[in-house]
Amino acid sequence: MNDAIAGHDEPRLSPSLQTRRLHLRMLTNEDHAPLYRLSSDPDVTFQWRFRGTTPSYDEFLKQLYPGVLCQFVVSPHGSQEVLGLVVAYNADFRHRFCHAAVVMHPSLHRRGLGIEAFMGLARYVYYGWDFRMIIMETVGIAFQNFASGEEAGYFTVEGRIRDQFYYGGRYWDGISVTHRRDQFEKIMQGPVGQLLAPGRRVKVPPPPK
Amino acid sequence: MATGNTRTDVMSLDEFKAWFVAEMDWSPAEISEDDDLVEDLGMDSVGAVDLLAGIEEAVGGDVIMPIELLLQITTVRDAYLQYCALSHLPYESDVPR
Repeated sequence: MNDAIAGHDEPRLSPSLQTRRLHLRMLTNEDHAPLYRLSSDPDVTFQWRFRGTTPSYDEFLKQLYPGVLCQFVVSPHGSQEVLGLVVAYNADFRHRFCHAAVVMHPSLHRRGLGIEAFMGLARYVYYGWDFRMIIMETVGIAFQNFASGEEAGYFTVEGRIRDQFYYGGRYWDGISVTHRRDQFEKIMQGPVGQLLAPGRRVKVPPPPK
Repeated sequence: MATGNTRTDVMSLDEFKAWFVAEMDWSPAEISEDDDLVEDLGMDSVGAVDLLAGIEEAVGGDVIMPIELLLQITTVRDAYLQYCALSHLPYESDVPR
């Protein structure tokens, strides 16, 4: 077994859902309301599932599970706080791929935590299924947040539809990227690998009142 | 840089800036402590991963940069201050209960 995928120095029979700062956990009923609020956040909604529309709470819940292979709430270690959601969906078992999406609270954008959460999901997916690749569909405005990853070998841009989506007074490209198993194993040897490694936590004092 | 289980001497701000330019592939050759990492230096999420991993390695001792400190980083100076904080905060296991 590949150690990067096992997430441990020794071969083990279950994949870790812990990353360096985060843990990926099952959704519970208590998570539905925070996720509903996150889905309607102005900085998130146009780039996520509902594309700016405002479904009812019941409709939101109905659309939370269809097509999903696995999905996890993203929380900090030692907390149930909802920082985001990672989803693997539309799995194709014949051709051995699935799609994935990551949504994080806007205050966490460009902090590296979305990549950390995604890598935790990728480790789980590649551990559990013999998939060749994970496909992500994104929008140019969101792609800006991680664009340099293409040059760094995190993923490959496979396709681009020019001016597909309209947000904020202009059209943005729709972009398809793949994260292949061999890319996962390769980048785990660099700084990304540290995102999934255990380490020592420090005690942070509470902020002054 | 520190390795293993010990945290090393803390860099000065000027040393940190030199380290930053040398270690962050995405950094321009000259930076100011007031530069905004995203707006002025163009840091994206991948760059943030580089910075996180780099600071943790520079501090040594296999230390984890906590989310609370991470969220306080906007400028180069902020990154330096949180690097300093990370260098001095006690490990959780060392805190008396």
